[in-house]
Amino acid sequence: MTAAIEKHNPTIEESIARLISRAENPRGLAAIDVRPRIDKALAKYLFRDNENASAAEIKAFIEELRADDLCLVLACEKGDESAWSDLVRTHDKTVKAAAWKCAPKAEDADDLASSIWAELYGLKHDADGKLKSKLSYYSGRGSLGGWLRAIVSQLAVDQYRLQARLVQVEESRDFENLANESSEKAENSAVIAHHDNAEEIFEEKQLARDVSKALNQAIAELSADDRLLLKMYYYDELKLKEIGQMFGYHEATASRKIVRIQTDIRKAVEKILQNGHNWSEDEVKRYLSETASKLGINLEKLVAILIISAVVQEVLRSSVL
Amino acid sequence: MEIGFDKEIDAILRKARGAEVVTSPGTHLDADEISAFAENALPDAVRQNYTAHLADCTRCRKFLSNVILLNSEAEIETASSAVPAEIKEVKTPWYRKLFVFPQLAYTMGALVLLFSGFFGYLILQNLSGSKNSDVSYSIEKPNQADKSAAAANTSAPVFSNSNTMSNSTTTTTNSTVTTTSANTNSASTAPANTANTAVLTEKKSETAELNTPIVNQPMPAPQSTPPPPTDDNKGDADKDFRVQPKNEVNKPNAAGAVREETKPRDKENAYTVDGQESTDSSLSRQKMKTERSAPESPKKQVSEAGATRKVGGKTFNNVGGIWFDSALGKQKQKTFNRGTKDYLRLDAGLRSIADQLSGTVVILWNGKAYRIQ
Repeated sequence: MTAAIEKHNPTIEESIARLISRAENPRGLAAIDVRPRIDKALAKYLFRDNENASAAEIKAFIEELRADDLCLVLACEKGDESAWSDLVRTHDKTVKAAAWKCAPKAEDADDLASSIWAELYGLKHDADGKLKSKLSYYSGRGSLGGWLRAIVSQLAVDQYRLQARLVQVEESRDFENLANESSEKAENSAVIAHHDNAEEIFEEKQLARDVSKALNQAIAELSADDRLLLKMYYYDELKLKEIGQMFGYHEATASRKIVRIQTDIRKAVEKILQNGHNWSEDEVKRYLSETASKLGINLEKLVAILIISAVVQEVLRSSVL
Repeated sequence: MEIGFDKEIDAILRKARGAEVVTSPGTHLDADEISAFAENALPDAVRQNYTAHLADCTRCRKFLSNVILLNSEAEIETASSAVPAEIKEVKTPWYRKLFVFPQLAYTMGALVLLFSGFFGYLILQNLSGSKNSDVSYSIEKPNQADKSAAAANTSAPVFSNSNTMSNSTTTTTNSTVTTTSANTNSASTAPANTANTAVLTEKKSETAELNTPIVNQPMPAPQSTPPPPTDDNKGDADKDFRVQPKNEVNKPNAAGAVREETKPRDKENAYTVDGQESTDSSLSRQKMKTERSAPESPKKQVSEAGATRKVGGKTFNNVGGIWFDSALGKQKQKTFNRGTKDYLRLDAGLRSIADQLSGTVVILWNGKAYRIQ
């Protein structure tokens, strides 16, 4: 990798000079200040999978780096006070906003933001006696704002993982208890299914297990892109627009991809259930249909309840006002 | 919903969310990689590798999704902060603001005050109205016996409608409203007011000529009614009527045979001068109510009757003891008593004029007619 960098030294130096000239405020940085960071980024993102990257690819890579953000970060690392004040002035809002979103409690948000700034400034010293700052991990590929949000998110996950998990489990249990209680009181067996017959329960569980296995297998058979798209859409509940932006295509394309993935999964699930679990074609179709209709009814009822309660709340609020 | 959207698989996949198997193969991506991936800012080759990892690594995918959400929210905030503050403010309609709790209380209080004031004003108006209604007038009852006398020389009101009535036929005088007043028939307005019903058939055209110019003349000019002439002096009366010059006081007919049957409603306010009852066949009782009020000094009025004065750039004619603004039209008159609060609230210029003229003054001020007494 070092050999590859040495090989393209003139190209890299030329590109770095252009990068500094591109920056609106180079903050007095010289090529020598920037070079280590560029080498690191090239090694991480370009030469790791392609040691034979061409000079054009190297040029394009450095050309795509965010010159202003990178110069600001490098100046901060160098100890430029004005750069620090600029960084805080322009990005403190970003850090605080992200902290407010990521912190489980409002009162923790300020602590989280303070922790981020401490991490950025550096709390420990390396072997050379220099402060080890989180800023040294910024490559300039993405925006500084996006990187800061990622830093906040990561730190929040690390700090509050255990707490968040406990809260989530508690909430899930509460919701489950509430749903069961509501169902029992209202004698509404449609919201949560109750079977008195043990055989029926066993059979249903068996069928559900088979379908679940087939589904997981079908998802695993998808391409990495489709798998990621499907999981982000169904599991992480991202919007198609957001997913599309991440992949670099329009949300309509993302929508078409989702439809195609559904079709692929149906075919795969039907095939797995028929071949692997000896289900007949009718059984497969009937089971999928029944399962979906049950879920649909339940979901529709829950959604209807939510909408009605929201409307009632709004009416009450407006009448009070 | 898109064509081909599979609701069944969609529902099953949504349900499978909770049953996701958590996996974390290999080394996790760092913040720089995640943020660059979220912004689609990585070289293709690296991207493919990261995609494969993210598709199977629940932790990194969640991290990525969180960063994407944060970026998305930041974009929205940036977009909204770019909107000018004036546009960003949601304008609540004024009628909705009235029903916001504190405003509602104030609004109700204001309404109560408003209605109280309104009713109070109405009551005051009624009270002052009752004071102003102290008007005397008498109605000349139709009397067949007096037909001829009435037809001979019944002073008609100046108003166009009454003139029309009197011109149409002599019998209309039977229903003429007469009012007692000082016998100071305004000579200045006499020709205009000669709606003398004692127009003989052969004189109709002449009378019409005399009446025509005053048809639309709005000047109210209550007149004293000279005694109706007898059949003998019909001609004289008519002659008097036709040649009656301005500023000449109507003289009672020499025959003096006044045989009007009058019924004064308010005897206290009814007054006579020189023992004669004056009649006024003006428009209606309502109008009479406002135009007629008890004069302060009949004698003084007699002395000033027919006089013309210029006060404050306005010309006033004294008719029946009342000073009428020459510019007065058919405006509805509003009555004010001197010395009252309402009077003091009037425009200073208006009051100045009124103070310079004694007795009742009817002034046209800013397009409105004020009766000050």
